[in-house]
Amino acid sequence: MTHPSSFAIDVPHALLARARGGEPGAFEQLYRLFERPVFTLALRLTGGREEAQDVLQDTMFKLYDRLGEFRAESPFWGWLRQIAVNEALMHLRKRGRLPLTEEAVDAEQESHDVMLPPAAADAGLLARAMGRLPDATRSVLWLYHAEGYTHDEIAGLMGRTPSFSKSQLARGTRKLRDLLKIETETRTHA
Amino acid sequence: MPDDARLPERELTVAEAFDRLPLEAPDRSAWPALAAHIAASRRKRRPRWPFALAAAAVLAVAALMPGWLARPAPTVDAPFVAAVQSTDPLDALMAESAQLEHFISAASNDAMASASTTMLSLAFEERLQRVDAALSDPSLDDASRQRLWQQRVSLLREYAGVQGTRQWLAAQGATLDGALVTTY
Repeated sequence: MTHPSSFAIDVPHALLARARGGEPGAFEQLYRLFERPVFTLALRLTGGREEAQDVLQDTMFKLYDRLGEFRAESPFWGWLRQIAVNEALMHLRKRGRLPLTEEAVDAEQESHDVMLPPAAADAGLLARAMGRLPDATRSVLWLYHAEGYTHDEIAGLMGRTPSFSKSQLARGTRKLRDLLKIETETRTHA
Repeated sequence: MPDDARLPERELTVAEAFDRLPLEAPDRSAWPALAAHIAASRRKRRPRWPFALAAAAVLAVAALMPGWLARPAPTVDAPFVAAVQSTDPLDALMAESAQLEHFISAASNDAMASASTTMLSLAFEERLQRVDAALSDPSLDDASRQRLWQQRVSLLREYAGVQGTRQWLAAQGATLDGALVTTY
């Protein structure tokens, strides 16, 4: 991973202590620090702004209700990110948008070719192509490449095997590359 | 060569491409709803919304219904305030806001909503979003914050009245649509 997750924000201990003490102003600061990272993660996983809005609110409600359970052994942002990921995946699961069964893993699919065409640097094109991926595939891609989760961790989050995560990643990368090539060609011919 | 001169000529790794995507901001802040949730949680005593009080509120709104749309929002001494006990006015407003949202959520039944009540709901949500957007400004002074929370509570009271009335009329075998037509 070349860049840290957008969640990787160090929160002062004093601010956390005030928030845990029930001070609304401190909690508001936490909300403002993490509003965009939570919303962005939710948007990438669910693929819809309204859904991401729901996930943002549910995540923050849960954060407030469970802040007392946070132990400072690990970074706060990682703990909050875990809540956000769980909420987003729960949202997809409730709507039947995560596959119930594992697909057979094709060894050939476990490709390590993860390069995308130059068009991937266009945020609009990339977002549109991402939007055309199945929810589970898009989620695995984002969790692995943007958030730095391992296949084992993704498998645990999604209730699947690491092989499922690997095959979704390989298949998703290939599909994304194809979609971006199509987008580029469409643009060139337009 | 790509149309956009800023695009690189080379291929990118997926991680690089994802890293170039901007952070997205929500269309509306979730803070007002969260603040209301916090205020409601902070109250040591969380009195349950008494059924008799709810019924009284619905009946009162039903009696005033023909003019409800033309009227300004109800004043602070509406029934919901009775259930909110707090010495801090802002805390009380936030707590009442959370209770009203809870009531509206429980009273709403989208499957039963007609086109006209759906339009009303959308209009209400739009107004609420405008207030929430204003409330999300971190530089708000205390007076403006309190005024906006008051506005939020008034809007919610108004909408709670509509939802309650709709349910009450449905129980009588009538709909809100006739009343809306009469009002206009």
